[in-house]
Amino acid sequence: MKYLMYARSEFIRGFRYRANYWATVISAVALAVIQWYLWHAAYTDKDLIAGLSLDQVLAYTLIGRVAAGFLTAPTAALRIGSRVRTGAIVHDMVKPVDLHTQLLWQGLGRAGFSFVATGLPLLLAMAALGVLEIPSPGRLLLFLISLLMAYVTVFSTSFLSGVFTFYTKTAVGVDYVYTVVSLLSGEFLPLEFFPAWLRTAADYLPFKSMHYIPMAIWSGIAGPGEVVPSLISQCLWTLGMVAVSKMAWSGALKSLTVQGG
Amino acid sequence: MPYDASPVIVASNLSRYFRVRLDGENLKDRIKRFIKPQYRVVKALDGVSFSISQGESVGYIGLNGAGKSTTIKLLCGVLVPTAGTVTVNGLEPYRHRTATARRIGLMMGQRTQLLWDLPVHESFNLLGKIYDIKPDVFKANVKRLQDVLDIGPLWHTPARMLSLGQKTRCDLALTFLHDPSVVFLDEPTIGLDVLARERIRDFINEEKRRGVTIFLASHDLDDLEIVADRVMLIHHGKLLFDGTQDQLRQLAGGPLVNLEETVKRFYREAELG
Repeated sequence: MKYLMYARSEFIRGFRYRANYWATVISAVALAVIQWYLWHAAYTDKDLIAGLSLDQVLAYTLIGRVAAGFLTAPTAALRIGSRVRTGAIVHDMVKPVDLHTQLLWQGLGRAGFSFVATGLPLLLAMAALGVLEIPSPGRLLLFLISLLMAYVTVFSTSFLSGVFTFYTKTAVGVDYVYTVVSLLSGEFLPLEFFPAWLRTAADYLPFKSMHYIPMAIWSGIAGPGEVVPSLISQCLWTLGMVAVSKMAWSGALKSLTVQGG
Repeated sequence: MPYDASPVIVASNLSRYFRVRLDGENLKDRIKRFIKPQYRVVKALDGVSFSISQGESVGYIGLNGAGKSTTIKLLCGVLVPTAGTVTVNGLEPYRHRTATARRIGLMMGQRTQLLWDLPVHESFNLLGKIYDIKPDVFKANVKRLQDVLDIGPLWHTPARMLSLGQKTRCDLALTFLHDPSVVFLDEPTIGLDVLARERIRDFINEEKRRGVTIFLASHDLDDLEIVADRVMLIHHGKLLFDGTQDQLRQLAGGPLVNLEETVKRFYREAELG
């Protein structure tokens, strides 16, 4: 499997940057600590907010911090448009590989490093301190499947946005659009906190699949009856986004304009 | 030189235009053109035709911006022609990018394809897998390239620690790893010292003898004088000359020994019309 080599290269690349690694660890710990105090403050006089308990929200946001590195790794695909235009990926384009698949696996290598090196230790530390409870094996397995699908959706969405910048000839603006995406994906808050109309909007958009669904499964926010339907909708969005981003890419390849040189 | 008569690269009326958005002269102009953009068409390559046979080595000369890199990108399938056609090994590169990619190699002197943070051997292992090179062929090719380019001692060094010369040798080896039938070299000796340049030329000549078709774009005319059997000269996107070095010297007005003087004279005359 030649694409596995791409993942491997990116994975072992992670070991090169020690300072970067420690900075990531410190930042991940700090963000988890912020979440802890923030939600304790919010729940001072309340048992439930938007129908969610403190434990559920903490589990949701803290596992979100654990998965953050894993799920931001594939956003590098946002740069695909500019990398094509500046000619930075000419070498990749003259290889007998599909660039979409190549970037998916490269991102997976980076995400894997981030998970093993930062996410997992953070998770284990929080579990040992009794801050974060690990769900039943069944739920854990479904969480992992959901997380992997979330990865693919984040990648495809980023890739699609990146292909779009290939036409607009500038990547400015994409980052801002992405802030809206993280609002609707539930990256900062469970979607329950939002007004009904925004939640309804989120139900009809792919962004829930990028963060909310796996974290809701882990934290129990998704009740026993909601897990399977959520996974099915996530699976459909994942396949849909992969198909759309691949189609957009082959369209872009047709009107290819690598510049520079 | 024993050429295979069948052409590997055929370009026919090959053209590539770029549309450049015009900037305004003053603020009013700028606002006007921001709302309603105006474009200028740049003809990077304008109706170029040529045919290259298997085993030939072609030097491709042109001033900065003459269309050299554009040509190489068109031949590799990274750019789509605006007009005209091109085939490499019988296939249109941009339509059959993957199939074309299996049989060509591209080396750019200004852009390394080494995995920057990883030891040199990781780059070779990666390409070995990508091109599906059989393990015994891979081993033999690596051994040969290590010996010829003296990169064995660099095998475990991270690419970012290599000197420019070492990096260039590794990049060249990577380009030839999968036994391509055609190799495009875009300024392979740029920035190198005299000894390093000589070494690169010797290597290219050696590959030429093994029957690889070489398409060499370079500003270093010594490279071409030594390596290229045939010279193509491109100017403002048009092919001005296509023939042997001797023919070029004759056209430029005399049997000068130095190719550089010949080419300079040629450009000056082209500018005068």
